[in-house]
Amino acid sequence: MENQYVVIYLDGGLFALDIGKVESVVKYTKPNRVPFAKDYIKGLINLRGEILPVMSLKTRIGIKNVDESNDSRIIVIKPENGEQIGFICDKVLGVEIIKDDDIDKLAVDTSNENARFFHGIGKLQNENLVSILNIENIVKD
Amino acid sequence: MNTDKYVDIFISEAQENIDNLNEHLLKLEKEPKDSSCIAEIFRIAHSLKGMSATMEFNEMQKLTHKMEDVFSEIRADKMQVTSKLMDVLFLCLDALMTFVNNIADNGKEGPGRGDLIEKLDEVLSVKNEIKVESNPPISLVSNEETSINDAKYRIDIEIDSNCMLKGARAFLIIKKLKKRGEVVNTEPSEEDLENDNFEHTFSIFYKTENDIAGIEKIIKKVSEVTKVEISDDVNNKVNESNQEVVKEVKHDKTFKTDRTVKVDISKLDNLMNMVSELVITRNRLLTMSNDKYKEDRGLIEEVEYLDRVSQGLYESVMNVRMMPIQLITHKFPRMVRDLSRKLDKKIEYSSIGEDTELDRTVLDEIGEPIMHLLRNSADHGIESEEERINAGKDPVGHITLTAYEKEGRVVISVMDDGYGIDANKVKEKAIKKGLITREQSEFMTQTELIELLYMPGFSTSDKISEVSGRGVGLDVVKTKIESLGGSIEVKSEFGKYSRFDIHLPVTLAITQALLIGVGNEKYAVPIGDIQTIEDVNRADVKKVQKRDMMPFNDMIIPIIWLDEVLGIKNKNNAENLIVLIAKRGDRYVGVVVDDLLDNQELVVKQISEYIENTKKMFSGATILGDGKVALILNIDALY
Repeated sequence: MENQYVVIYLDGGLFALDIGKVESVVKYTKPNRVPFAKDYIKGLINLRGEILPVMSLKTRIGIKNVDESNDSRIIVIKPENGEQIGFICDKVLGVEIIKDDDIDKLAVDTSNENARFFHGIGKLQNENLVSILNIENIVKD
Repeated sequence: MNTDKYVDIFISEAQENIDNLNEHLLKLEKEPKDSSCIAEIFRIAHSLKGMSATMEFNEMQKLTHKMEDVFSEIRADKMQVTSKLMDVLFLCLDALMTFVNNIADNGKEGPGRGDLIEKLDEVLSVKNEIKVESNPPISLVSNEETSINDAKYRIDIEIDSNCMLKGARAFLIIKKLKKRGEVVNTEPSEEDLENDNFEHTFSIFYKTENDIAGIEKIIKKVSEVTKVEISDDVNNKVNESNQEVVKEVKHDKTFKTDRTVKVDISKLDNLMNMVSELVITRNRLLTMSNDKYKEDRGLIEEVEYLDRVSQGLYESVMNVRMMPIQLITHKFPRMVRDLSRKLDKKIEYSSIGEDTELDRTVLDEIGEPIMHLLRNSADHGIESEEERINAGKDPVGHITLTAYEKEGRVVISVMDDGYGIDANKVKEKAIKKGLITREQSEFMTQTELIELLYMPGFSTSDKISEVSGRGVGLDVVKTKIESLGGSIEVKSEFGKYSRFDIHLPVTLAITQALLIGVGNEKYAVPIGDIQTIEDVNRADVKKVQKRDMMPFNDMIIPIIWLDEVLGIKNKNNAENLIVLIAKRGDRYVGVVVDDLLDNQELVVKQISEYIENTKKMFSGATILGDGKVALILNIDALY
């Protein structure tokens, strides 16, 4: 069994998102700040007339360097039981196939509270390794 | 018989009929001798019976049949209308509603109510045997002077029970008879016969010189006639049957004569969405044409025209979505009546302004909070009859619901002349629960103390009542109202009255707003929330008991620094402050902003569920003319 993933850069590291939950990828526009929102929620943007909340993936999963670059994109995500939300990433590389066999599930590491954001490590066709993100946990409180 | 496609019609008509019956029963309870009310009740019950029979909902038919029997006795003055009887009848109505709801859910009426049928049977057998007055008939269908006793014959006709068009058959027979003699009277009335309002037998009182055997043959020739009985004996049952001929003076209300159309709610919602999108695009066009294409007169003119047309369209659509609150308030009289019986208190309910209109979505949500307030009033507001008499009050308590439009908002007020709210008791309870300290309470006004009731988990009632739960639950009411963009205020005089005022925006979706700048961020403030805008010199702002205050009119009002509240760092150090004056109840507050930017009509969109809005500071978000997003401030939540 295999699945397609959208592969992205976050501060030089490779990450993968299940394509089934990705609606679209849009250009980065500076979000409108929402006072008193969580620190990883950067604000709201106008997505073709709809209000889309946007979060910084880097802040969420604990990566320190949070500067946005020219290649930054917003990935519109539709989680299973929730509304749409956007993930800010540094660069989108493309869509890759990863075989289920090539995924190493992470050992349960209760000391790292960020561990819940990851499904495991996957191997791309070109032998590079990517961290497969657990979208539902990222989106949940 | 394939009845599937008629189920929807059945459901909607049955609901209407049941609501109607509810109203009339309430009326009957107050005026037991109102004969036109009784007639209408009988007619509605008869309709319901016919409808359920046609659709083969047997349990419903059985119950309505029994109810009809009871109504028939009442109509014949053979049964007294008592509160106990009313209780049973209302229970039956509720059961009917349950049948209809079941049918709406899964096509089946559900279990029968043999228990209620038994109760009705009991009532029927114990009825007061009042002598039937042998008065002349109340009124006749025909205007002729002839009375029954002139008729030579009484013809009883039975039509096949499977016949679909009984009314047509009956009409045909009567027509044929009229050609050969005089139809003095019919039972039921000719109108009822034509409208199918009868089972499958009816009687005609007929006068003719023709051979009666010939007449009988003619009737029998009409298809689906199963039995014809002709008797000379006209005096038999005449008196009783006379009593039952009551003419409906008003034209039959089965079909509304005003020109309305029933529209699927989703179609309206679609229309509303389209119009909202149109408003957004229009705003963008306006902005663009004013910026880049200022020179192009032709374009500017067209855009302005578009502006006017879309405005007109918007207003029309908004109008369509407006519904009178009567749609939710009509069930309140019954609710209060039931409550007053249950609590053994005398309560009278009245309402004013039920034709005040609200947006449909607001209407959908506001019913529950209002019901909660009503239950509270009945349970904790109105005292028992004894207590009221001892207090020198009218033994009957009054709960009044008032609705009216004011300054672009709709106000719905629930008032009771009961116990009132003891601000002291509330204060003590709050201190005891640790919600506030005694020192804090010293600084609070009466109103502020009473508003402690809104805090979650608060209750001044010492016992849990079945009717309204833990005494209050006002925090739930408040939250719901605020989520609709509204607010609630309470006024009370201990021992005399309590009044809850709910303020609601007339429409949800599109608001006129003022765009303001705070630091380098933009926010929108609904125009309706702003009383006026003032220029205030920074030097005039003084500290009073640790709060910043400013002069306004002849008062001193508190000030809110918006940049502080929103966590914006760039501090504006200008001499002159721009202050928005807002009002809540009779309290004013000044909100300091940095810039006044623009006046726009905005489409209000929900803020995503991912954004925590626990402080309720923002009532929504919107897309500005330049395509950027701005948050809409809820001034009420700021203080």
